[in-house]
Amino acid sequence: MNTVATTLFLQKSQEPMQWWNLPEVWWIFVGILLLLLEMLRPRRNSASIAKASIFAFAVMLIASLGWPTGLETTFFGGAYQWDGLAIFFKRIFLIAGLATTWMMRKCEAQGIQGRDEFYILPWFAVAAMGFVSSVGDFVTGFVSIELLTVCSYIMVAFYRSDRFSLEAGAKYLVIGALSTAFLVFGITILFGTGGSLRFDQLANSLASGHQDPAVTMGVVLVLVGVGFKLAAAPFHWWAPDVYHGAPTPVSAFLAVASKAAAVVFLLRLLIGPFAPLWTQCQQVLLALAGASLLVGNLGALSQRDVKRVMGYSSVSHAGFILLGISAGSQPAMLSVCYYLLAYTLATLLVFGVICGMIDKTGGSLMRQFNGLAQSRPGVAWLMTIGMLSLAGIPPLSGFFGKWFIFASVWQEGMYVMVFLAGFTAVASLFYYLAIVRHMFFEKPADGRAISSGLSFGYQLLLVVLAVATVAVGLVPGAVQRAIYALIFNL
Amino acid sequence: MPEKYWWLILVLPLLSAASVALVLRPFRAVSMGVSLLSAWVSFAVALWGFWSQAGSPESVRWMSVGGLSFQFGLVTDGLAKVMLLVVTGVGALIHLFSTGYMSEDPGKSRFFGCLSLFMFSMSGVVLSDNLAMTFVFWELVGVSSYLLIGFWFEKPSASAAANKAFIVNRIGDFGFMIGILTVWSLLGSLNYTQLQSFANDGRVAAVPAGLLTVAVLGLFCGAVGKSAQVPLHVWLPDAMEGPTPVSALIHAATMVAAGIYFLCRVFFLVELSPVALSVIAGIGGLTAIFAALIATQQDDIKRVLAYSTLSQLGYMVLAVGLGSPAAGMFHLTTHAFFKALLFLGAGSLIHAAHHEQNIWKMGGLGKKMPVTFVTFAIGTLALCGCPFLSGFYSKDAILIVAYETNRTLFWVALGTALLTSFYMTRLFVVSFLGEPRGDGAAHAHESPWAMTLPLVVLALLSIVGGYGSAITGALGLQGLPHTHPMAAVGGSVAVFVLGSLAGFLVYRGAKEEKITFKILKSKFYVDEIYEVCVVRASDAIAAVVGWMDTWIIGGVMVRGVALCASVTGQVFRIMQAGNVQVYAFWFALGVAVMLYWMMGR
Amino acid sequence: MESFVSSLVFWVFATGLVAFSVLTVAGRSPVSSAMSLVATMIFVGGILITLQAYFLGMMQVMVYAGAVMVLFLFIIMLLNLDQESVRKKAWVKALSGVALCGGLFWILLGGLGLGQSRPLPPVPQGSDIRDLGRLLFTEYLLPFELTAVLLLVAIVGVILLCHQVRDRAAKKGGA
Repeated sequence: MNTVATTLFLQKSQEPMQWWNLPEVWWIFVGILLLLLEMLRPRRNSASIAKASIFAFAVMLIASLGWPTGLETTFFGGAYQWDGLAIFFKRIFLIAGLATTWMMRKCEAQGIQGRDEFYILPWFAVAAMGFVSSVGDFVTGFVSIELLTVCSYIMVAFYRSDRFSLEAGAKYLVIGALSTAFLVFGITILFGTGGSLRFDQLANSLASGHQDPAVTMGVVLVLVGVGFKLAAAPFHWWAPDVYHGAPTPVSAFLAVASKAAAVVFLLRLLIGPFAPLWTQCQQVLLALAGASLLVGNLGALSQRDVKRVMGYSSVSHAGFILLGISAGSQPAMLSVCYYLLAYTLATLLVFGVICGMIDKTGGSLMRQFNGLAQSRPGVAWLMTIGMLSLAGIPPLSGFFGKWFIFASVWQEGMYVMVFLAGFTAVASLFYYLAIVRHMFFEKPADGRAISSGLSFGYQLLLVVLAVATVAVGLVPGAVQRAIYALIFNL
Repeated sequence: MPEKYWWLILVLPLLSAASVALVLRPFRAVSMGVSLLSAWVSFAVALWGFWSQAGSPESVRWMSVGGLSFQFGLVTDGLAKVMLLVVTGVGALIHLFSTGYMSEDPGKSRFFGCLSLFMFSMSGVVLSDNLAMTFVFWELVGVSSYLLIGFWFEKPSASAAANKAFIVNRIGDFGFMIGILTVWSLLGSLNYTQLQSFANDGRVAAVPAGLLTVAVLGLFCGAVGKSAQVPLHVWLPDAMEGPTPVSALIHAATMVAAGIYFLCRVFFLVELSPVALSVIAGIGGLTAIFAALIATQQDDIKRVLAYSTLSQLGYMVLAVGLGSPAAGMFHLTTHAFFKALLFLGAGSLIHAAHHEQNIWKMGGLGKKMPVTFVTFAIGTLALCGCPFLSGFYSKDAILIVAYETNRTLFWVALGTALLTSFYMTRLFVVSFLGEPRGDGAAHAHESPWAMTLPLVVLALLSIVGGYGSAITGALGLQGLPHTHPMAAVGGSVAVFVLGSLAGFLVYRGAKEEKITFKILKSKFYVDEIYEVCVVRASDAIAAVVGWMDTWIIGGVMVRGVALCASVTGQVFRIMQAGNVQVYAFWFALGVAVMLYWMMGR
Repeated sequence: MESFVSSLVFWVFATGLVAFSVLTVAGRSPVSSAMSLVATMIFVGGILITLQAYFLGMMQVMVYAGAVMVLFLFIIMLLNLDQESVRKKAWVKALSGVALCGGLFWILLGGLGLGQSRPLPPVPQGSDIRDLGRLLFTEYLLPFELTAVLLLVAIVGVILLCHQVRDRAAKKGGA
């Protein structure tokens, strides 16, 4: 018991880190433990497993405060890197895991048939993403991404009896397989030209051969694979359908965690093997960013379903993130991390409200939110905070995220992109405000789908997310300094 | 360290708004009291600051991005002090007025909470010492205005107006942000003091003129949105859907003046770009005459006042564009007094006439509401530019500047003054004189003291505001004219007499509209034109998206369901197949294009 | 001479691989599709063997062609899937698909360069079972272990998605 406590909470102590106290190892361990628990448990009642899972996420999140920062080290012969960037993203994954598991519990309480694995799969997915955030070679990267993807397939198709859920699962599977094919082909080409799969060795060998068209090809194909996970246009086709069809908590998971995993993988590639190929990468990223901004923001305009809107919105935010990354400077990287944090909080908040308010899976039409402000003003305000933050209205965190990214992109002299992004940001206001308008200014239709009350715990979750959204925006400087200190080990 | 007290002006309304929002909302009277108190204490601090010559407090480090750190500091020069007096003073009076006006409203707490939020953000706009802070408060002002216009959100027109105001303002703010970013990339600083020193030591002059013009016009875009200049003026008349005190505070006296204030604040940049100056002057003149023309044909008392506000804002922008920010600020100050007075007077009328806003259903209210009658008359005279009232002096200042610099715009301004006298007289005669023409008007009675007291105070200010040498002195801006050419002064008096006389003669004893200009009545069809454009654009987007829906997104929901019914047994596969194949096709096409593009380099 | 033979063998296997892949997709009946897939697996194994990766080649044939595909065939027969009903003749779709594939192939060809020889990366210390095992348990230990987790999740997923249907069927039967 003492050892466990030491491992979980006191890693700052003198003991050097070992492979067995890496967080992901513990997360997988928790996942397997929960599977065993499910088997041994006497009666079929998911509540206990759900509570155990949520509790474990909370414990792990608290334990993450004890992780050793300011320390750069590798494990498994360089396949696993421990540094500030990894810590930042691992914490985001934990937050997302905690919130989505909680939402899953809420979904089940609403009478949607769930099963215990619903609460267990996020553990494997989060562990997979943890490995992605620490990835040091292509094989580990590929296997962890596949692990994440397989978990996602299952979670998307979880409500097997629901037509939309199953259909979304099938779509995600097929398009995902296609993107995996491109990803693995790209990795193969890079292996063939660079002679290694380790990021550090590849960086050296690609530095000499960066004129080779085959290298460019490999880079583009790998970026296609990342673009799929990121839901960046033109590889976004799945996003609106899958977000729409999947169980709402899973949509939230895909929008937040899966995207963050893609971002950190991209960052790892760019500071690792692709560093010598920066000019090529930048062009690809800019193209993806521009396309995503246009497709995401314009596509969302004509949508009438909140989850589809969030699908397109997720595409557009991928555009903003890619835009920030393509600026390439150190402040830009900070801006991207800040943006991602703001996006995570607001998106979880919005999906949390959707999950709490809509009884069934599948559709969540905007007019189902009509008159929410009268019947449940508190919830309507929470939703409004989330929407306004996503739209980038000060002083919410989403505004500063956009501001930082615009500023760092502007500094790099890419004025046209700032104009494009600014234009689409204005356009985005229309669809975010449309939802607010439905909540506040429309009369509830008969046969309304606004569900009954929310439990105290669930309300607490939503309020904490909303407060965090506001707080991160009120002290942007402090948050940025904290991220800076974490990532650059100061 | 008395400088620290400046912060109170920001902190108090914020505290009030937060406490109302979080704790006090169920206790309506307490919420009201807290908000009222915070407004009056802020006003007291502003007064103290004005007389005590207190300097600026130390700035606070706020955030840093890209090696550039933003300080959050307050600017407390003469310009800011005058503006602050206007904002907190008018604000405090309107808080008082609202206690009477909103006394029956169930959402009273929410109203006062939003009002406090507005006071916080507006004071922030006035006090912030750099462009970034200004922008943040600028947006916050927009948000609180959104909340207040849509205050009666049960009315669909109110919610539509709130959305319209917000979105139109965002269009202006987009330009504003481009302007800020351009300034930053050109000069590397956003701090007003620093920028001013750059302007003084010639560093700004060294910047390519074209880029500077882009920057200044970008900043001007923000002002166009917030101060409702053509072509972004459409939101202001609709914003009258909000409660009347809001119209008085936000949409007449303070928020819409923020654009003018901001232009004066960055005038040291503006004046270095002659192109921008002439654009600004042109837009100002255009707005002035355009809105005055529309105002002559409106029937809703608040809309008349709204268009009149537009027109006067155009005047102020014109003054800035002609190189005299002092004249613009002077007019801003006096206008804040008499326009707030007029709006509150209108509010008193509407309150008394049971929420009747059509002037043709009023009439004869003068006898029943003596205080409102007299004060409204003073406001009207001040706005028309009656000699020896405040409006006369400030309007004259602008006319003289125009006379000396640009004769065309002088005639435009003079024509506007003529129209102003005409439509204000029409409004006054129709609503106060004659016989009652509606039920509401027949049973009207004078409003309570909480509503009439602010009217009296504002009426006094409207009379003496023009003599306030303290105000003009404190501005410390150049450009207030010292000469008084007879043509300008005489012209202004002449058009006042002419306009009022014409209005009086035409509308005395009138029971219905005497003159009809359809195009003016329908506001030059600007809203309709915009609507057509927006509808066209969204139709076009919808067509493109619809095409994508059919061919790319593949209408699962529609076609899929239809197939369900017809093809039994194979439903799932077929439905799936069509779609996923198409997705996969586009995915792979994306890869191919991307590869081709990259390999081609 | 030796290089000629080995490249001849490669081309034979490669052509067969492509041909049977096309057949897999284009085949009308599920059984013939599955059989074509078996053939492609065997050709892949052949190519691995020409690259002197004997063990990998063997495993490819045994595991995929032998075990996995037989399982597929069993399932197809158990489910008693008929021939796919006649598809609507979607010539535009088919043609655009073919054109796209051709275009992609052409672009990839341009990037990699047909007939250009490239220095292969050094094959890590031969490829017999012992070396492979050593690599898996040293350099690639982490991904290897992760694969175990991946398989676990896959099993859980399969059970989950199938089991639920039985649940419902049981419920219906009970009611």
